[in-house]
Amino acid sequence: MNLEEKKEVRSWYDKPRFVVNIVTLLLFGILVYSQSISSTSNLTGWELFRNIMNVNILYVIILLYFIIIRFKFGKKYFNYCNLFLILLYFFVTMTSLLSIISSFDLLLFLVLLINITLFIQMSHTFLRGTVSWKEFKMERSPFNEIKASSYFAIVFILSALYLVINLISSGEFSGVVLTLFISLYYIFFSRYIYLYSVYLDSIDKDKDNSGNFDEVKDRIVNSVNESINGEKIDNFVDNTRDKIDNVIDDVTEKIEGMGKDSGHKEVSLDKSEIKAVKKKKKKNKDNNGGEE
Amino acid sequence: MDMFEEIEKQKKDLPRIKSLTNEVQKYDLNIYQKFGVLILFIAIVVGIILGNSYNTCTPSITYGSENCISQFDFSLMLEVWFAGIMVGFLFFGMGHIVYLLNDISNKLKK
Repeated sequence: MNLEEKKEVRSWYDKPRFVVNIVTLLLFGILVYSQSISSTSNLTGWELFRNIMNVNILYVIILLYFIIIRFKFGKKYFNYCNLFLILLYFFVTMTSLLSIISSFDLLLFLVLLINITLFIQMSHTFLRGTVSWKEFKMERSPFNEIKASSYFAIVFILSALYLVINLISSGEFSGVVLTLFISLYYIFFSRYIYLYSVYLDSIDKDKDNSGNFDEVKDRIVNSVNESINGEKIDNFVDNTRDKIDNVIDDVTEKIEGMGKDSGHKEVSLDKSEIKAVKKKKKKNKDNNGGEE
Repeated sequence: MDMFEEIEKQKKDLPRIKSLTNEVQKYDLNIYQKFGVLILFIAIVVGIILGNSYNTCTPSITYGSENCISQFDFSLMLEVWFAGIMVGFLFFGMGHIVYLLNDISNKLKK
């Protein structure tokens, strides 16, 4: 299989556009489903709004983010949107920490761990390739040593734990469905950040991550080894040699022809003599250049 | 084309912090504007404190569970922030009006 063909064959979870679509759908599902549950209870409009603010504000903002980046405005200010997302997750992490301090709960603790992991993953991915990476000297950060795939694995495991614990504690089907949506959101959101990190590795942006670099290096070595399988390089060398020989023959013939026309003594030029003449000329040039 | 490749072609880089600070330092604020900015910062801090102090109970409607988990009250924090922004902008606007009136009187004196 050629390199170009290999590049195009990607799994669905490796395609950024597909992952973004899934995250958007999941966020939409979370908001609609949680509000549909709220609407069944006897809450006033203001209480419903407060419920959105308390429980779903993060999902609303991230949904807006994924909608904005589809448009030209979002693509142009992609780095600004990412910075806002990093600050938002920092704030959410702090509030999760405060919630834990006020009332410890295993689910809250898991959410805090997930938020911390996502915040670190985002800050070490979205700021790469920007001016802020150098200004804040992020290449010296210890979290930069962690592979992008490790962050995704951590979030995956924590989300799975979150789902399992919620399944055990939840008494209704609606709670189960909502928890499933939220867990999948965490996983796919982390996947989106991971895919961006992989993309940045591919274009070599401020990478100081030995894990990803080794993978890329191995990939390059393997593909070069496949092409240097004896045949292709030898063919290329032979073809080039033949072309050069043909050019030399043509030049020789023309010079001989010119010699005959002008009545000069025939000069038979050997390929090795031509090369020797060329070398001599090059040496003379170098010597003259040295003297100057 | 890959989504990230499209974005890479169009995206703008973030501004440097030094250029931002230089831009901010150009402006001289009078006492009313400084007071307005101070109110904004106070509102942010008070909002966070109140949101943490008066926790909200996540109702059973969202998780389908009968247990009540007290969490940070975002809605209260946003209400305090909104009030702080309104008052802060009010003072900031008053300060700007004072600045403009000063400017006009200085030009008339000339």
